[in-house]
Amino acid sequence: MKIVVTIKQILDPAGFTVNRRRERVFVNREEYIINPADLNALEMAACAKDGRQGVEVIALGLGPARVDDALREAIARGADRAIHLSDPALADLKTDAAGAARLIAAAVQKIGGVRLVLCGAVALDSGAGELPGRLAEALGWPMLAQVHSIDQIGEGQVRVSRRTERVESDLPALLTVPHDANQPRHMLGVRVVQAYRQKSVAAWGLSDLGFTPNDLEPLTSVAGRRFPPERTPGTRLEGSIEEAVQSLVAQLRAKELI
Amino acid sequence: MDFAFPKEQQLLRKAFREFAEQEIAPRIDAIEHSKNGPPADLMQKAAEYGVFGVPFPQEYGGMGAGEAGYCILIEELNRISPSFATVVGAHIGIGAMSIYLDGTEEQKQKYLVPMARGEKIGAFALTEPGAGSDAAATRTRAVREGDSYILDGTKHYITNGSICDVSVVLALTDPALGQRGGMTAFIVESEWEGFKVSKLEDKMGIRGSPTCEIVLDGLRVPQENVLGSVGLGFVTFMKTLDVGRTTIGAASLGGAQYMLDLAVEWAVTREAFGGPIAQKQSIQWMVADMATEIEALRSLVYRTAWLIDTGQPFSREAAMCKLFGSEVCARVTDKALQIFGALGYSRHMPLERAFRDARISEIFEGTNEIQRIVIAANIFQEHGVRIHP
Repeated sequence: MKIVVTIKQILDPAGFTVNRRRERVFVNREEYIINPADLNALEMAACAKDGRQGVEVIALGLGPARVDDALREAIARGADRAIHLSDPALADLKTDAAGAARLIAAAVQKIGGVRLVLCGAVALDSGAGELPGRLAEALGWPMLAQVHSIDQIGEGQVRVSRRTERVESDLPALLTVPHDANQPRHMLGVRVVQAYRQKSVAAWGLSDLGFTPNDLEPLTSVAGRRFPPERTPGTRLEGSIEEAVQSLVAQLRAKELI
Repeated sequence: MDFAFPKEQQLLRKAFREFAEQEIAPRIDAIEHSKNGPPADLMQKAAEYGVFGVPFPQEYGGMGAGEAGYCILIEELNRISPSFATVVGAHIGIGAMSIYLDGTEEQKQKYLVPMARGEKIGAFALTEPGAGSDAAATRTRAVREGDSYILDGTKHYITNGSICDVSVVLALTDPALGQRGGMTAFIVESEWEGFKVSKLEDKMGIRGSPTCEIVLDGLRVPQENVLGSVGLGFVTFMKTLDVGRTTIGAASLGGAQYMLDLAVEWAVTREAFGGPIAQKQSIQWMVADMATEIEALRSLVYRTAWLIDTGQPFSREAAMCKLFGSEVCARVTDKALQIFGALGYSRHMPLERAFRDARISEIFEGTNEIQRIVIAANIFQEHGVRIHP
């Protein structure tokens, strides 16, 4: 059984500061990480593989040359192999989640025999969470969102747990995995060495997938940037524990939260 | 000339840092207060992770990351816990390393493979009450008896001595010849009768790494456990120490970098006289000096690792790594403590421990005075002058 995990490389938030007043982002250190929820998706795939024969986990990433780093890291964290969707034409091309989804869907079809696609539920940078839905649509597969664990998986069906319910679906299917679904395992040093010395990351361009830049015409465009309002610090409850608890209860009652 | 870390090593650093921050950092108190080395479950996790075999080839159960990969490991471990780094360093860098360097294929299969996998923990027994820096004054005797040797003597200040399964031991096989042909290295198992841990040291720093005295009392060692050649044990031990010294430089680098990171973070947060103390020239100069020394040390350590990995002579540079590294770490830690002020002096902060931990690096694996002799001897040798310690 082949399981594809989509990997998005994002700018490491530890490397930049946001100045709300000037509405600017200052990149102090340009470093990249794998989108955290994608690591949870990868962990879920690795768990599906644990103790089972014939499961292959394939990491799939889209983007410039540096995405190779993220894909090697995905191998070090449990993927068996990786495919990098990369094309010089993409460098100047403005596309959106719909275009990216069509391209990734074509790659999934080209791999062949994929029964499950796992995506991080939301990317930490945009926070849009749009790609998984678009991808499921492009593939024509059912999508199960916010999956916390795979309970059972066979050739034809999968049973998963969400926060409050168990859901079954036919395969192939696409699952989205939230950041709190699991604790990703450590990246093993020996796998890091293998990822660079013994594994190769396949590079597929637009023509390999039968695409031309025109096929990636975006449906949407970014009209501007927005800086979410600054979070105000919480209220500090003063006095003895009893007084603080009474005050807390009173405030929760006043807000009709209890 | 390419000074960039290869991608593989960059990702290895990330992996090692993740392990140190997620697995070791939460256990610092348990490590520091243990008399028997790091907690067993942590050692088990480190073994599963492959920590104990980083430099050794994969065919011997290692990670195959070479000396450079090993320096990265020790750097990252020493950032978080010099105690843990010392346990790992003594195991890999001198214990297992001596077997890797001079062991026969059978010895490597029997000892190096389980050591690299972390199934067996190693130690390196050189120092004696009367023979520290002056290793040539070794008194431990090995007397041939049939196809075995009987070892008698006392080794002390042995890192991992009380938790090791395997130790290499230097002993006199021919007192008349001494260090020139009269000393032999042996691979010894701690389970064997006659291997006794007699005293645990109560140390100033690296308190979580067990250091002890070992008494060898009629310990019978089979002939096949001679490491290297009979009479050439001193060479085996000195060769191993050369590699070990490089990693003390790496450990110091990790410790110093961590101190700088903490100091910088504090300097931009702490406000005095109407702004962050980072705006004060007194702080800026300290930070600039710290960063400059650290950068020089990084170049020295990884150039030496490159010499080792490419099979070139490295003895002089290794001694420089140890000498310069330990002194840089001490100076940088001292400055970081000064930047933190009274807060740095508090036991609740990692600086107090780092200050105590850093001090040992100027002493162990050959004092810095010995390193200066090694470096000078190496320089004068090129001019035909032999230096006698």
